[in-house]
Amino acid sequence: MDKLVEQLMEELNCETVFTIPILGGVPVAESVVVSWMIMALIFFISIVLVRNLSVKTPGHRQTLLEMAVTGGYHFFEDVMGGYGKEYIPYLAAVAVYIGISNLIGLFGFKPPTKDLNVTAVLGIMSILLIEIAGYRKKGGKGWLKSFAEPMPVVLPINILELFIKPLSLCMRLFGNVLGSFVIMELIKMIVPAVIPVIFSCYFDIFDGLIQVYVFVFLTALFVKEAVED
Amino acid sequence: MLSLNGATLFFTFLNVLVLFLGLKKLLFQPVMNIVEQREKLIREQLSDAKDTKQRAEQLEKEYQQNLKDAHVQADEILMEAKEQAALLQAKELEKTREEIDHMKLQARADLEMEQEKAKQEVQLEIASLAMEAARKIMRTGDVHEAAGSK
Repeated sequence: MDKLVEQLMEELNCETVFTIPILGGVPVAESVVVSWMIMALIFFISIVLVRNLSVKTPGHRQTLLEMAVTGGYHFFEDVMGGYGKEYIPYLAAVAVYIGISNLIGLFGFKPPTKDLNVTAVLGIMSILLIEIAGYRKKGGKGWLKSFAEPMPVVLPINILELFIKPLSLCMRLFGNVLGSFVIMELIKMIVPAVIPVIFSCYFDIFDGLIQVYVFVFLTALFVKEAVED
Repeated sequence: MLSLNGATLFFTFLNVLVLFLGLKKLLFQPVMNIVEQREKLIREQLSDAKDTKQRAEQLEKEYQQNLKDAHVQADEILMEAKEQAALLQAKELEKTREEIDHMKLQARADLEMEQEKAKQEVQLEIASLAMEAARKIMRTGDVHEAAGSK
């Protein structure tokens, strides 16, 4: 049992891959390296897909690509009800990043979303996006006033929400990825073959994609709340 | 496991930002550009088609109007021709009638003249006959009477 715990802890730890020898050594974590790989992969695929786009004679590849991109845009437009169209590319990019991060465990890499730092940054960036969107829509005064709405009594709660929203986004994603990872490890230790595949379909693929949906859906919803009148 | 690391936070922040900008530049914008261009093209073509249709409809209307005008004109010309023909016919008829009347009058006059002539001839004949008779009477004996008549 101790061995199991030890093994699990070992898997859960985010190791430092290497250290940049400046400023007294900047550690580069595994999640960062895997993120770089994901980025490289995404950029490479993007460049390959976007080559030779045609207005008049789109091929099958282009048709599928257009369907995917416009489908994503429509999804966010529906969620945000026509508000904040300029934030869609960010939300879509985050969706792609989290999606690939959650699924990359299948290929033997450690998912970056299993690192609390990554989900924390994603949560912080979400709340920044939400507040910046509100600020840009309502102006400084309107943005400050929006904390006292619908009535001044809720002011503390609204201020608390500034921390609750990113924290819940961050912890939900982290917890789900971590939880499914732990469960998968336990299942693998009990039954090494066949059975884990079935559970992996649920915990790694289905749950991973559901978390993507939840994360960007909630962020889009908060942005909509921030910018709508 | 649950500890936050400044460097990792910073790197991840940078990563997400770069990923967002890169994806926007490399994937979303090009694809959306193409989609928008196609929509614009389709809109233009639709409006072009509408214009063409409108023009065609107008042309058709014009042609129909022209055709109607032509029909009306043809009818007018036909009517005029008919009227003229009728007029001409009437005139001709009148002329003929006049001629006939004239000829009738002429014939009557001729007839009367002929009658007169015949009468005169008859009278002349009668006179000569009378003279003949008188001469005969004179020759036969009734001299008195003959002398008296001489």
